[in-house]
Amino acid sequence: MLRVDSLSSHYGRIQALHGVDLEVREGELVALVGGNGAGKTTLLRGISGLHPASGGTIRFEGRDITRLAAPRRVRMGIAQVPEGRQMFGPLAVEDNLRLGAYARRDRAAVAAGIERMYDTFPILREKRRQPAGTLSGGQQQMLAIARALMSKPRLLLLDEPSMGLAPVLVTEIFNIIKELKAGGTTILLVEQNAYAALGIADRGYVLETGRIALTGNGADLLADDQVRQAYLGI
Amino acid sequence: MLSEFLQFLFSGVTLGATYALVALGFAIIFNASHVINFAQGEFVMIGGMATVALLGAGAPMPLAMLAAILLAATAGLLLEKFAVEPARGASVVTLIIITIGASIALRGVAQLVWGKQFHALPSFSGDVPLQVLGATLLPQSLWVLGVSAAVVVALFGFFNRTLLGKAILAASYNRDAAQLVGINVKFVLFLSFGLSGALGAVAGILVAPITFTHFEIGIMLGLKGFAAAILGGLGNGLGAVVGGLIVGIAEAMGAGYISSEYKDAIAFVLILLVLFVRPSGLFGRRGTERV
Ligand SMILES: Nc1ncnc2c1ncn2[C@@H]1O[C@H](COP(=O)(O)OP(=O)(O)O)[C@@H](O)[C@H]1O
Ligand SMILES: [Mg+2]
Repeated sequence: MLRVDSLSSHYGRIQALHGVDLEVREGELVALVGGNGAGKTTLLRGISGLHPASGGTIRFEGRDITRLAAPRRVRMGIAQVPEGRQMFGPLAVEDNLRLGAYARRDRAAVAAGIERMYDTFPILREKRRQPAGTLSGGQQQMLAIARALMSKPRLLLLDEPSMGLAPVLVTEIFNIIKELKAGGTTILLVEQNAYAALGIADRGYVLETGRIALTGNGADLLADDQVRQAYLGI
Repeated sequence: MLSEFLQFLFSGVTLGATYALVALGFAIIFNASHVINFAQGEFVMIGGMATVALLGAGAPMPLAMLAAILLAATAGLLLEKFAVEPARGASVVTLIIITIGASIALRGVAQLVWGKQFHALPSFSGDVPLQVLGATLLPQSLWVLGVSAAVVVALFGFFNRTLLGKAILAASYNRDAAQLVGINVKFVLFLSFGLSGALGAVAGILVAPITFTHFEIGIMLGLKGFAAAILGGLGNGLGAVVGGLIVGIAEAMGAGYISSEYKDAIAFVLILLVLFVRPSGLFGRRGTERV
């Protein structure tokens, strides 16, 4: 479904990605783990179109999207839950959801979609009229996920959805991710919480200073000595 | 006493409504791009001057006004496309200098095409003043107030009730997140300049029968509108309207009770006061606010 070939990316003269190869197949949950500054966010922003590639290609469902603008990629079915949630803070919760479906034109289906999000995240229904910026961190993370789902993505990119959340909320977010996968959404999950991410992933990639250091299925990576030492602290 | 006060109030509110429209133009562009568009006054000038020119060429009034608004909107769109967009990523100061350059160029073109004379636009519905408690109120003032109020209500509805309006706000609150939901932020920027151009032209047309129009009229109107925008809190829609009314009323009261020589200075004293006392303006919080 998604195929990234020798992707390079720069910030000015600093190279953040050095020829990354990565694949996500239909229906898979793939985890991308790695330390702080490894390039995980840069890779996700490259896939969603927020950050330009300086080399390599990105293919989505067979189509080369390397040079496509971000809003066009949303229309093709790629949604990203960005690092740090990135709410439209002063706009109401419901407006954030409605804007999540900005690329869709089927108004009735969008309204039904919002109702479905409220069923999944009842707290959002309760706070539907409040500015998104007034929600707690966990609530904002749910809204960020719900907003991304409103575009009906076929591929969901999640950037550190558990960051800064209390442990019980982390568990809840991971349960939501598992449910999304069970519902058929293809997911690329970026996490510093490598243990939890690899635990629910079909496959995983370990990114180190802009290069893929290791790849394999989730359970194998969890058992790998190198990974255990570097990322799990065991 | 009362009649005198009312007289100054009428003229202040009329001017203030014009400043409010100019200030809203500043707010819309500021929200979309964080650029302070110093060519905003030139949109006002284009509105008045183009209407006069088209009337002179034999066009009926409504058509002349509509065409002038479209012309100013086009000027806004071209400014964005050929001056602001290519400089994307440049510092805000650079962008501001670009808009100052554009304003000088627009004035130059206006002088070439329309000449240096002052022009009067006929009032929309005659010049027979209404008597209100001993003060006189020009019918054109009612047009200024009525149309400005309608424009403000329409803008409020657009930004708070329509998906496109909310998308424009979303792009100003969070550019990345806006792109991630499929909003074309480049297009939003483009649209904002067009909308600001149209707003400026509306102000210029409304006020032309009262103040006359001239190729350099945009300088002062632009600065007063800027003062209003700063006073209300740059980027804040409600602030722009309130700021415009305050600047207009302060100016008329100052001219009436102190001396008309200080009329233009009052707006700048207000700017300085705001910058010293409350730099974020009356309604401003952090720069980007609901329009
Ligand atoms: N906006 C930026 N400007 C310059 N360098 C950046 C920027 N964002 C990230 N980087 C650099 O790129 C590298 C990868 O960062 P990032 O993709 O954010 O890593 P991760 O998400 O894995 O923590 C880091 O060295 C970081 O310092
Ligand atoms: Mg990151």
